[in-house]
Parts: sequence; structure tokens; C-alpha cells
Amino acid sequence: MKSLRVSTPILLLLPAILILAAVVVIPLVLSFYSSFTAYQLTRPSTLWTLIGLRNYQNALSDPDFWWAFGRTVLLLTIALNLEMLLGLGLALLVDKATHGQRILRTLVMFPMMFSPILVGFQFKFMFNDNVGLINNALQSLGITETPIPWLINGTLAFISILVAEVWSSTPVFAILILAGLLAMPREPMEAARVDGCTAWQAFRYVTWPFIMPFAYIAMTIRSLDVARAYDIVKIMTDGGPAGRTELLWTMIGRVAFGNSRMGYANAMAYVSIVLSILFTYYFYRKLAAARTQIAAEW
Amino acid sequence: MAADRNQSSRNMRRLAKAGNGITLCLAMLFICMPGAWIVLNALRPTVEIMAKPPVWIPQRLSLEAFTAMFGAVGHGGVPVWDYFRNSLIVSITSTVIAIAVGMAGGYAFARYRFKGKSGLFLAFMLTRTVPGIALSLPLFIVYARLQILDTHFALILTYVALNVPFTIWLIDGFFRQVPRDLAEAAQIDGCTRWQAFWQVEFPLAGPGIASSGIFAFLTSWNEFALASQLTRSVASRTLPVGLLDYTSEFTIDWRGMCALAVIMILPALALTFIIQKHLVSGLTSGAVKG
Amino acid sequence: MATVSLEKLVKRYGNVEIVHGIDLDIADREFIALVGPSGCGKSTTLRMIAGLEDVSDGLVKIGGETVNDLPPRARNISMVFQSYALYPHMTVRENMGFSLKIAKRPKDEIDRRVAEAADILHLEPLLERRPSQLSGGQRQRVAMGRAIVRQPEVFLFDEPLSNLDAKLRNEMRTEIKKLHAKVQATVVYVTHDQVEAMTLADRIVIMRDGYIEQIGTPDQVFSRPATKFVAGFIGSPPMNLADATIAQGCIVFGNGDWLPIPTQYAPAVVVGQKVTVGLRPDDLYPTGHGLHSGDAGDVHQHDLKVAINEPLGNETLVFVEFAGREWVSRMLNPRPLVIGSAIPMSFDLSNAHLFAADTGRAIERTGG
Repeated sequence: MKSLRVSTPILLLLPAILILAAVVVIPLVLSFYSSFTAYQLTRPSTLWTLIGLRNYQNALSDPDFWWAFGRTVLLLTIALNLEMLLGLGLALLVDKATHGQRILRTLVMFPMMFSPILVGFQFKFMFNDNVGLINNALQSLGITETPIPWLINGTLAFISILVAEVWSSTPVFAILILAGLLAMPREPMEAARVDGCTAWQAFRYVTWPFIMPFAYIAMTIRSLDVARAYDIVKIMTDGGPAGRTELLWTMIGRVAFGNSRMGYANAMAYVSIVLSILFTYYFYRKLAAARTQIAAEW
Repeated sequence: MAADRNQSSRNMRRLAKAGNGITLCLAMLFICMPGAWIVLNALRPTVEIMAKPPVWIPQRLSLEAFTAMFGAVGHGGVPVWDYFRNSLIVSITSTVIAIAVGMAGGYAFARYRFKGKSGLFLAFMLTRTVPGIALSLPLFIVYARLQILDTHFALILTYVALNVPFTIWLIDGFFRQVPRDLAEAAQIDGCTRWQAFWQVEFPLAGPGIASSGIFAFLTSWNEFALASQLTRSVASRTLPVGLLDYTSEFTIDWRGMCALAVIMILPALALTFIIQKHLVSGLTSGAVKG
Repeated sequence: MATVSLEKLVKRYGNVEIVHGIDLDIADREFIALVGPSGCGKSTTLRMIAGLEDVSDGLVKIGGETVNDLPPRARNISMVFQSYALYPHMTVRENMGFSLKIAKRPKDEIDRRVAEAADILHLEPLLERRPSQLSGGQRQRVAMGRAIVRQPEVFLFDEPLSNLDAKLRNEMRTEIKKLHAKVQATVVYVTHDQVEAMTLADRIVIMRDGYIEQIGTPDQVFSRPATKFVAGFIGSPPMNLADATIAQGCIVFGNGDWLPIPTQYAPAVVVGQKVTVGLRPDDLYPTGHGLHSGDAGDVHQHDLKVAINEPLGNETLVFVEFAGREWVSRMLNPRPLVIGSAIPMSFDLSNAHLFAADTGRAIERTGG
């Protein structure tokens, strides 16, 4: 009997492949299947009732779904852009600092290390209209008379979640861009200063082209973590008030476990996953292009 | 006139430097404030927290919140010990396994060329695009059928799968930084490939592997979405889920929750100190020099 | 008027003083070389002139105006860096035109000036390439092109040739000299290679450990070195230096070997004085195989043992044993020599140098 020769790398990768297949791939396939059924948790037999594309039709024509979709995209777009700008600014500031660089870098990483649930809790506490730090501070400083209903008002709740999200993830951008700044060769910068550039011009023409790939790495990593918004929202507002901060994932979670409509939830989940993959793919392409550029020139 | 130009230049530079410093301080303040506020409030009596007008300088500090929390086990309080125990068991076990799998996979990607390599790598990375909550739906079904819901095993298995792609990515980067010639030199010196790996390559990539382990630990320690659905009772519930439960109760014990939050954050912060240098280098070297 | 003045210029890092209050006046359109061993402070001084380093004390003046606190872009200077510092993401043309673009000059002016500079440096075929596609020598020329496009008052060169191989270095040296003749600007040129300094500069500034040892024309620093250090630094192969004591009518070395006191120094020294004797390899030769410059009476002969030969084709460097060490001599019209044999050697003392043994400073000649 001829023995099967398996190459070493495949052998090494086998555990990883098996585990991921078992825990991710197969459940995803199952999930895909169940999205075509009327499966409900409370009536397990419905797993075998195929209803074709009805779940998807319902999802795509459900206004709540599109509202949640819109809110999610809005939150993520604003959050990513803010995090990019603030992270860039923070990285530039830390880079210019003369003393205590290591302490600064550790401090900057703090928010990254907090579990999203913890982040949500912190800001839930701080934005609380009664005992929260924000309202107390505003009142003590005499800026406002009445407490601001941060988590009760729909728009303000959105802003509060945005603040929590930006606070928690700006360090990712800051640290990666800082790594880029530290890796940048110094002499073109000096040449730019001699050539007549102001600080802004030197940044625009020399610094930015170099750290662009680092910024894109950060974008790609962040878009992979897009679902973190679930944890924070769940604990701060749980989609409230009255569904005004319901994002895609809190909604899907609610439909699946709260309403037990698994089949329907899975359909919505798949639509959302496509969205997530598109996000990631877009940034990955940008990153690959920037990588080749940087390797060729620098 | 020359003196004026020099003077104005000097002033501009001083102004810029001061501006930088102030902005940096404000930024640091903003970053540290939430965490510091939580710690502070875990140490203050509830009376002070609820006081109106607000009390800014703490009058009394005590560790009551912590003793109350740990002492209230079985009296209808939050079963903190159980949650802590569960989190610890699940996180450590899944980390160890994830590192083992990650080392094998990372080494394969770093040292070998084979067909479908980049495709496989992309596939690994794509599994991370699936958000936890999305995965929890089918996993719930599967685990329910297999009757492993609410067990440590289920959570450990899940977290290993969650951590493996990133661990492989990081460890791949770290192994690439170890020059290939070293293992070859060791083999010339008499080692088998297996020995060469453990004697030469593993120690050099060691700090990096430790960092990815710590990162995996933190991911497991902080994970919420999957844990919230896959655990049902004190038997396997982890700290993040515990925090949410606590928060949702009708009477909001702010001080108690702050104390619980502090317990959750301490291991994470301690580990952050250790890995911060490696984390960045791992992320960028793996991704840029590729 | 592009003069450069340094007045009591000091540079400190924390408590450590690197440059100790140096003074230097550079005339308009002069080519000045700052030369010295690594760590002597020449690059730091150049960077203070450029504005890339802060001045700890003293004044830097360009065109008569104090510029201590002015940023580099306000000083009307150009700089060629050791590693060229080209912008990797821009083409050669964009690199050269960058400073004009920043200054918001009109496009046709930028194109014209870039074309002129490219013409002078033979860069036309390379204009659309990126730096990563160029060889070292080509990148060097682009760096120079970038500098001359700006038409500044002062050019600063920071060891521009050290990253090139020997042959390329020689070629570029000639290019730079031709460039200076054409462009007619003030140049401050830092190098550790004394050959570059000697061939390129109008005046040379030799630095050591943050002090200026001597400022002078190439001829001055070669034939009238102010200190033992300068004497040993300038000239290749380096000057022979040996410690000795003045005795009655002659100079005695440690091991008993002796030379007569050179006539130009006779009135200036006293018996018992400790000196260092310096003699260039050109002034020491196997008898009959050299050129003496002074009176035949100043040539002294000894029979010395040959240690090593280094044939160079047109001449041979012969190492002989004298005064307890090996002395380098230049043999013109060389013929084969037997190692270990003793041959008559001529010491042409009309060009000998004496330095005070303790301070290293040259002893004043009289007459000579």
C-alpha cells in the first residue's frame, strides 16, 4: 500500500485548519443553511422547514434592518475617520516629545487593553445623567443648569457611543502610525527643512507618503474589529432608547435570542457579513498597493 | 533687523513647543480619566458617589466594595469567585492551545513555500471578519445539539478558533525575523531539524511568541459576545458577562460595579506593560515587510 | 555677499562640550574644507551653520547677519547630505524642483532651472527615474543638482563622497571642482579625507576634538603645519615623526641615533629641549634616488637597514629602521633592494620640522 506523503507545512497547519473548519466554517455553512429555513429556537423541528429566500426578502424589505444598517455604517465611518485623524495627531505629538517616550507610549495603549464591555461600562457611568462625571463636571463648572440626558436622548446616545468607540480604538491608529514615524529615515526630512518647507509642508510631502501604509494597516485591522461595536452598544444602551441606537448586530442578536427567530437572524447576519468583508477587502487592496510602493521606493 | 528675525523665530519655536506640551497633557488626561475615575469610585462610599452637589475631593476611601463583593458569595450577591475562576481557566487553556497551534502554523508560513499559501493565509484572515455575535448564532445551535453548552470545553474550543488566525499572523512575523541560516548552521553542527528548531529558532522568537500569547489571553479574557450566548449559568459564565448581568439589575450599585470592573482590568493592564513593545513590532513587521 | 562667520561657536550635549568656541571667517565664493578624524566636530559645525543643530553658545553669521535661531529654510543655503537624502517617492526632476515648488515659483521657471542644473551635471537621461533606480554616483549627482537649482548663497557638503567607491570618488572630486568654478558660490565642505580637502579647497580648516588646529591654504598646511597633529594628518604617506632631545649641535633620539640640527631651527632651540622631529617621505630617500630642495649642505647621510618595500610603479616606498622605528622614504627611479641590507639614506633637512614635544606646536623657524 502506498503511504500518503503529506508535506511538512501542511502537516503543521493541519491543527489550525481543523479547528477553524470545525468552529468557524462548518457553523457558517450551517448558518447559511438555516437562513433558508423558518428555524425558531423554541420549535427545533422547524430547522428542516425550507422556505427559500423568504428570510432574505423580509430582511431586505424590513425598514428596521435598513435603519440599523444605516446607523452602523454611519457610526463606523465617523468613528474610523475620527480615529485616523486623532491617532495621527497623537502620534505626531508623542513623536515630538523629548522626555518620557516610553511612558507616553504605554499610556496611549491603555484604552486598547480595556475589554469593550469595560469601555462601555466606563462611559455608561460617566455619561449617566445623575451621577455621571460629565454632567457633574458641567454643572460644577456652571456650563449647564439641568442634567443633559446623554443616554436617554436618541442623538446624544449615538454621540456617547461614538465617544466611547473613538476613545477605545484611537490608540490602535496612534501606535501604528507612531511605529511608522519611528521607522522613517531622518535625512529626507532634514533635506526638506533645508529646501524651504514649513512644518506643514514637510509633513505633507515627506512624512505622510511614508506613513501612509501604516495608516492603512491600522484601517485594515480596525475594519476587522468592526463588530466591537456590539459589546459597547449592548452595555451602554442595549439598542435603546426605543431602538434609536440599534445597530446591525444588536438587532441580529435580539432577533436570534430574544425573539428566537434564528433563521431570520442568520439571513440578516449573512447580509451583514458581506458588508464586513467588503469593508476589509477595500482596505486590504489599499494596503497591498501601499506596501508594494513602499518596498520599491524606500 | 537680524535680531528681530532671530527673536521672532525663537518665540515661534517656544510657542510651538508649549502648544505641543499642553495638547499632549490634555490628550493624556482624556485617555486616563475614565479608568482613573472607575478606580476612584470603587474606593468611595456609595453615599459620596450619589451626592448632590457632586463631591470632587474624596472624603473617605476604603476597600469595602471589594470585601463586600467577595464576601457576598451565596448571599444573592454576584458570584465573583466563580466568574473569575471561569475566566481564568478558559483564558489560560485556550491561550496555551492557541500558541501551540499558532507556532506550528506560523512556522509553516514563515519557512515554507507551498501551493495555495497566500490563499490559505487569506482564508485564515477572513475567518476574523466574522463577528463574534454572528458566529454565536450557529454555534449555539451546534453546541446545543452536542449538549456542550455552558461548559468550559465549548468556550475554550471557540476561543482557540478565535485566536489562531491572529496568533499565526504574529508568530509568522516573528519567525521571519530569525535568520534562516541559524537553523541550517545548527543542523551542520549536528542537530536534527526538530532539535534545531527548539534549540535555535524557538528561543529567538520566544519573546514574540510570548507576546502573541499575551494578546491571545487578553482577547479571551475580554471576550463578551460569544460568551454571553454560550454560557448559561455560574458553571461557565465569565467575568465580562458577569459585569453585564450586574449592570442590568434594577438597583444599580455603582460602587460594586466599579469594583468588579477594577478586578477585570488589573490582569489586562499588568500584561499590557509587558507586551507593548512587541505588539507593535509584531504587527508592523509582519504586515509591512511581509 | 555670501560670507560665513563663526564667532566662538560652542556646541554642548547636556554637560558634554563637543565644539569648543571656534572662530572662522569664510570669504565670499571661497571653498573651505573642514577636515579631521571622526568625532572632531566638523559635521556638528556644518549642521550648526545649516540650522539643523541648535547653537549652544557663540554666533553663526551668514552674509553678515546673525542666523543662530533662524530655521534652515530662512538661511538661503543648500546642503548635500552624506546619504544624499533624496525623496524616494519623487522622480529626479521632482526632487530637483522640489524647493522651487515650495517657494511657489512659476512652472516654466522651475523647468528652466532644473534643465540648467541637469545639463551641468549630465542628468538629462535620468530625469524621469526614481532614486531607487539610480546607482550611487548618479544619486550623488542628483543630490548636487538639487542643491544648485536653488542658487543659494552658501553650499554645504557633508562628506558627500564617502559612500562611493575609490574610482568614482576621484571622478566626482573633479566634477565638484569644475562645478565650483562654474557656479561661483561659497562652499563649506566637510570630509575626513585629506586628499579631497587638499585638491578641492581654497583654504583648509583642520579640526580635532572640537578645536581648530590650523586654518590655511593647502600649501600652508602642507609645508608649514602648525601642530604635530596637522603635520601627521596632511600628506600621504604621512610625515615621519619621532621624539628627540636637543644636544650640543645635534638632535639625539632615544636609541642614540642622531641628526644635525636643521639650520633654520639652530637659533631657536636650546640644549636639553624636548622636541618632535618631522620629516616628509619626500625628504628622505636612498641616496641618488630623490630630489633635494634646499642646499646640498642641508642633506645628511646615514646608512640604514631596509625593512619593507612597497613598489608603486613610478616610485617605491622604502621603510627603513632609524631612531627605533620605521621611517617611510620615497625612492624615485626605483631599483630592486634587498630586505635587511643597509643602504645609504639621504635626509634633506631643509624641509624638516620641529615641534615642541609637550604641546605639539611647531617651533618658530628663523630665516629658512
